[in-house]
Amino acid sequence: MVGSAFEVDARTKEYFGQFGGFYVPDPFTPALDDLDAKYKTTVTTAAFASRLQALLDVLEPESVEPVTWKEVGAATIYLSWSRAHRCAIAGHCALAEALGAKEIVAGIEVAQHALDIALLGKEMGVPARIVLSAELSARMDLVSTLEGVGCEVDTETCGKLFNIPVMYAFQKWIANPGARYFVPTQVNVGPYPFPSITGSFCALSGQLLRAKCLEQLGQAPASIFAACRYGTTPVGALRPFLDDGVALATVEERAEGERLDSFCGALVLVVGSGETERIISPELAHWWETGKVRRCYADGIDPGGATDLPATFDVSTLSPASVAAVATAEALAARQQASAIIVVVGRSE
Amino acid sequence: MNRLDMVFAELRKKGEGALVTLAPSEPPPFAHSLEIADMFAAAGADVVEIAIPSTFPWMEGETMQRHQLEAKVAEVRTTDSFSLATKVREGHPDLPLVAINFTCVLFSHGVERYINDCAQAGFDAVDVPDYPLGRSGDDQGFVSGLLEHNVYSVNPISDTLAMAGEGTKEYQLLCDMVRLSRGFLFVMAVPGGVSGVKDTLAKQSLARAVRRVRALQEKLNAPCPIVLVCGISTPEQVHASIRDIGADGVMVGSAVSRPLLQGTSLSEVQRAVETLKDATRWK
Repeated sequence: MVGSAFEVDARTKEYFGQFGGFYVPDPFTPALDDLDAKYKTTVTTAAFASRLQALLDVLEPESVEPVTWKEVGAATIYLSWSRAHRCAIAGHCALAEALGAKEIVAGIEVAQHALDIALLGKEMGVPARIVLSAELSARMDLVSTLEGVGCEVDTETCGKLFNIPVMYAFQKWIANPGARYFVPTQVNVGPYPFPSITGSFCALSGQLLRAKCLEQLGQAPASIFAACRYGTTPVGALRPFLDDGVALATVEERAEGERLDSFCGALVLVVGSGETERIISPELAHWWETGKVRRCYADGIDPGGATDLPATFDVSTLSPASVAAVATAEALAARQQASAIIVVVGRSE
Repeated sequence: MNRLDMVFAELRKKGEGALVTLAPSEPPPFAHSLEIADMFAAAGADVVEIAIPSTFPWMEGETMQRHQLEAKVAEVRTTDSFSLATKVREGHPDLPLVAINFTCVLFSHGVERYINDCAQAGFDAVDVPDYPLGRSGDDQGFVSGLLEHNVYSVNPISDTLAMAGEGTKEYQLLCDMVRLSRGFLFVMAVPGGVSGVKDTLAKQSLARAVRRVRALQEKLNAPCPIVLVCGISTPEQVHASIRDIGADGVMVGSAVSRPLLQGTSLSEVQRAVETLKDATRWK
């Protein structure tokens, strides 16, 4: 899957349009530039690609192979699981190991991400320090599982202070960047170069999807809909198709009355609305701004139609944005001449 | 003339170090925040920073995050902090005031509006630790825009960056930061710059850092007072910062904010601040 050598994406850069940038204190820049330089030289080696593949195999992710769902008019809709998060976790862990990190640190809001990091930490023999969100901290089964495989688990901080686990994990990393490695699991986490690095690892998922499409369909699909929350699934799935002439779209649940703030500190973009607050990949926001990817909302789409999915895509396990993406693709398919539509979905958290 | 320049010149004459303190923001009518600012002035604080809250205070330690959390819960708006500063300025026309916030506030408030509001409120400087002045070369015109209103931007330099070897990228960054500093600059002891009380002060590395920054200031003809920040909490640490390490002042945040959060009376906190200020005068 990874090939003989992982390629650094030529689009990797620190600025992604209006919402990109590099907003960290100047004293942090040597550590971040050092990471960027080491990343670029490390990931291009065959040894790194081999290790990354091995770590991905440890996680045993689902196949991204497009599975036929239904035909609507002239279009056939296929479903595909996103592997973006696991590619990101495996990539960062492989990089941490290659850089000789003595400890990996992560802030986690999704239980599966914590389990994946713990598993890879154990596999690599590198201790993992995991800061859990307040919600996950209350899950004693998860905490005991993580501690059982040797993780140091912080269940206190997010409950008594801000419930932003990546913020505390990043603080631990920047306090000792020589010995630790910060593992973001989403493309919106961390200042430059983290979003770029995470995006390039996530894009392995899309590269595999692209290869499967060429193999199965004989060509790239006419369009791809990617479920969107923070942007990890779309960045992973869509990046390899940007230059293929494929109609690309994201589908998300709309927030009311958007307020936009941008910053590239330990998180990169906040799209807030009333009580809700979202943090979205600046790279994805840039794609929206430049028209490379269409931004769709689940408004007026009845998700009730997404009930007859293939057995491996149990609707009860799909994230809300995934259900919306499936329903949107179905609703739009009838108006398209498309021959193949791919919907990339993720699991409910 | 900027009030910071006047105050540091006066302190130099008197052989004293500067004590920089931090006042929290609250919603109008600012009764408690104004009392705190008045208390700082009465206790002899030389500079008062006023916090503009952020929903994402990613460089703060536990105590300062609690302050930020309180402000978030109380729904303190950015405009409230500017109004508070205006009130403090009315009561203390000669006291240097510094706004402290993260870069996200610039975006949510608007950079131009932020600059104008700082000037209107009577701020003498801003402390935006995650604005990468050296790295970006002020490509957003933020610092130059402030300077047009005689408002300075305070730069943080870590003790590791201060020791960057000549010819390296880090050295160039260090030189840029020294050259661009106005009012005062921070030297901080913690690599990550995360605030909070520390048990020990890294005296040797800080002393080396301060000496190096001073040497560069001389070389670049860019003199600027040096204030130590992050982890300073006791009179002994204040004294050591000024007499042994050679700083021109110290900033004390968490050490004062923590008792305020714990409900310690203002008079008691004032006595503690007076003790810290006294330590800047020890020979």
